[in-house]
Amino acid sequence: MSASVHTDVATPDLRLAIAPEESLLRVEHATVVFDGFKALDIDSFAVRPNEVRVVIGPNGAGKTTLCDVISGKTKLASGRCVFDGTDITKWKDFQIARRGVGRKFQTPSVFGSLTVREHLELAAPASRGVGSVLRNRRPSGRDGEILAVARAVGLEPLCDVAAAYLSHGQRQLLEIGTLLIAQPKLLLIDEPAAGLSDTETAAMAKLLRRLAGSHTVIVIEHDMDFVRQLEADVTVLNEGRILAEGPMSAVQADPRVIEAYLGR
Amino acid sequence: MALARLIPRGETPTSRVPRLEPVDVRAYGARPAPEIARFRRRTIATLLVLLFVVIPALQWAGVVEPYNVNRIGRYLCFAIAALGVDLIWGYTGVLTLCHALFFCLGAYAMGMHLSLPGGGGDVRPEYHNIPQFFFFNNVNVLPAWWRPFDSLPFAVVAAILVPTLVAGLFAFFIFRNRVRGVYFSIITQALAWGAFLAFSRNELLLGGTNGLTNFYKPLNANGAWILGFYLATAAALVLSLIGCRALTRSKLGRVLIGVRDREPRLYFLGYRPELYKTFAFAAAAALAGLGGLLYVPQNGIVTPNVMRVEDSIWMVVWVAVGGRGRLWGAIMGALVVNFSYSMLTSDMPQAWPFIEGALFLAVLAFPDGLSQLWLRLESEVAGGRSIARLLAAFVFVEAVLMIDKLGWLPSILSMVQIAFVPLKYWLLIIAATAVGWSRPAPAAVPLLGLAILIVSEALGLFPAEATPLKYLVVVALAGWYVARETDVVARVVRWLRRRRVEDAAS
Ligand SMILES: Nc1ncnc2c1ncn2[C@@H]1O[C@H](COP(=O)(O)OP(=O)(O)OP(=O)(O)O)[C@@H](O)[C@H]1O
Ligand SMILES: [Mg+2]
Repeated sequence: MSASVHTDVATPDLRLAIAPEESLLRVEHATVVFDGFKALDIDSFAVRPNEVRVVIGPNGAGKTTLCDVISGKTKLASGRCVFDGTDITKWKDFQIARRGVGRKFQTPSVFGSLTVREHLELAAPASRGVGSVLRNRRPSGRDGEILAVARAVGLEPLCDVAAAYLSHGQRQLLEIGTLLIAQPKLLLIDEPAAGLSDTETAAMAKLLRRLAGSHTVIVIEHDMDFVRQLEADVTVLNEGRILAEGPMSAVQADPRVIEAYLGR
Repeated sequence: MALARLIPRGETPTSRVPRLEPVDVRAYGARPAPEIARFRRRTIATLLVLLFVVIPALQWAGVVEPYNVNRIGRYLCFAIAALGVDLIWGYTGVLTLCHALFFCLGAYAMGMHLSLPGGGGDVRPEYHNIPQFFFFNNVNVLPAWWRPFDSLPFAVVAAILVPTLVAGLFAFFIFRNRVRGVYFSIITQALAWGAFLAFSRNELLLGGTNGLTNFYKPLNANGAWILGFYLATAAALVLSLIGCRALTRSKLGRVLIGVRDREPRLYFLGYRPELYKTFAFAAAAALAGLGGLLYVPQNGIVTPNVMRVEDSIWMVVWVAVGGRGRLWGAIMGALVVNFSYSMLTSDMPQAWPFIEGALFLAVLAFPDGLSQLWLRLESEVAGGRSIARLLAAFVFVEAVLMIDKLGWLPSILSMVQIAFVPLKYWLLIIAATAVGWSRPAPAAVPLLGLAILIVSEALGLFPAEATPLKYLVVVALAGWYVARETDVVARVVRWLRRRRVEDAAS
């Protein structure tokens, strides 16, 4: 413990400096507490528009909790969360989703009896009120768009297959597809490569790289090779705190990061 | 089902496809094969003809008694209510245990109309020209809230609107707090119980435990009235089915299935599942109200006993027996369970509790219910198997029963006794056995056996002395089916052969 305090003093903080004006998302002085245990304690986390940011960290570091906070699944004990110039700290999950935050869950969470096409139809941006959905019988106007997204994630041949029949990797791709078609301003992607084969992982990295530049994406990942393929800035979380932030090469050289990963 | 079609016969689906999480799986987007579509069209046409032409014609011809048509009409009301259960439970995954309450709200609204002069109610000067039961409450003037029910349109609208609004408000406030699953079911149960207690009180001025009765007598005694209500109910059922089908096939239906499969995920797609659940619950209540509204004139009485929690559970059982998540499954389940109930309670009431227990077990063992059997039949028909011979046997059995009913069967057939059984029943047994022997699709055997039984029972064609026969046929068909499904005969043969080989070796 004393050693880590020592290194804290010795090395300067490795952090990205992002001004509030140039950020799409800011999480400030945020804490999340579960039964007295601080799962998240972040002084400042900001993402620029059209940036891909990777969040890494050991198990239980609070990565998923960070996503939960941004998407409104978990409420902050203190601090605030600003998205696209609006304070969304108190907003409900569906309001945040409608505002333009899309999310892929760590374990793929799909609707077993709906087909790939039906997933994309549900996620396509349209009114989500009961009345307008009732009138919307077959959203045929979107067929082209739906096929395009299905092709982008490589699920076109499986359009009429119920999600329960898809493999784990295909479900991950389906979740990405539902994100893409919703056109959110911010994509939260929790462990996209988990359970994928090597070729699928490479395809996923390519897909995410293609998103860069036109989409703001936060990717959570354990697979270091995959992270390197993304060529993006990295935020390292450990025990709920931000340990270091910057390009992968700089982060990897940071002694605190090395200790957090090797010290356990 | 999709699996059954994807995989060639002889291979069990599970041997080739990896087991995934146990969700209700079916490819909604996929269209049925052309042969299946044709078979479906023909089946639907046949059923419509049976419902709207054959049964009225049989009543007119005197083959079917008005009492039996009246009973079919009542059970069709239950089928309408079952559609609602399927909507909220089968599609949306919300188990409701107060559906019978909404059925009763519709029934009471119509019952009030039928108790008043506008609905032909039996009001007399000695009881101040208001329904008689008020006399026992010391009420001499019709309460103001009863008055509008004198008008039929008002009563009809109220019968549908009141349950819809009650259900909508109730569901909205419960779902808004994100109450889910079994907690919601328990709350609906409490609602049903509370309503039962309230309706049983005389102070509510709805007749207390005796309910509402003394309606215009011809409603369920006169053939023309009976036929009219029967046809109205059949039409209402068909329209409800068409409406529910449109609903479940729309995007809204997809959202409802999403609620069932993984409700929390919908929030992160920007949906508010609680509103969709409220909508489905209210729509289900509207269907229940419609069913209740049509039920009262055909039943002649409505009491709080019909809104007990048990009755709501039974409604869920109907849908489970038919197969949840399929609208025609709900209708099939409601009719099959009710006719079986009516048949068994009149033939051997002591057996019903056992059947009841068996039903609950069967529902647990076969989550897809009877609809699975039907889908098997469809895929077997598509696979080129002919059911013509089965249908011939079916028609033969029905025809013999009808001719017998009219007394046109040569009396010699009844006089010739072989092993104490009249010849005419031997003919039926032979025809029914032909059903089993005609190399038919295995799924078709019990299904058509069941169909013969239910149709004959519904039309009241079984003479009293043939009662044992129908059960014998059922048992024989079920045995035949189980034997084929489990391959038990081949197994016994193989076992015997192996023993003989072993004996020879030793
Ligand atoms: N709902 C909860 N209740 C209590 N504790 C929780 C809850 N959710 C998360 N935690 C705890 O908070 C900590 C951070 O969890 P989180 O899921 O954010 O970690 P993670 O970085 O995503 O880990 P992993 O790499 O395993 O996915 C863990 O110690 C976890 O046990
Ligand atoms: Mg996680």
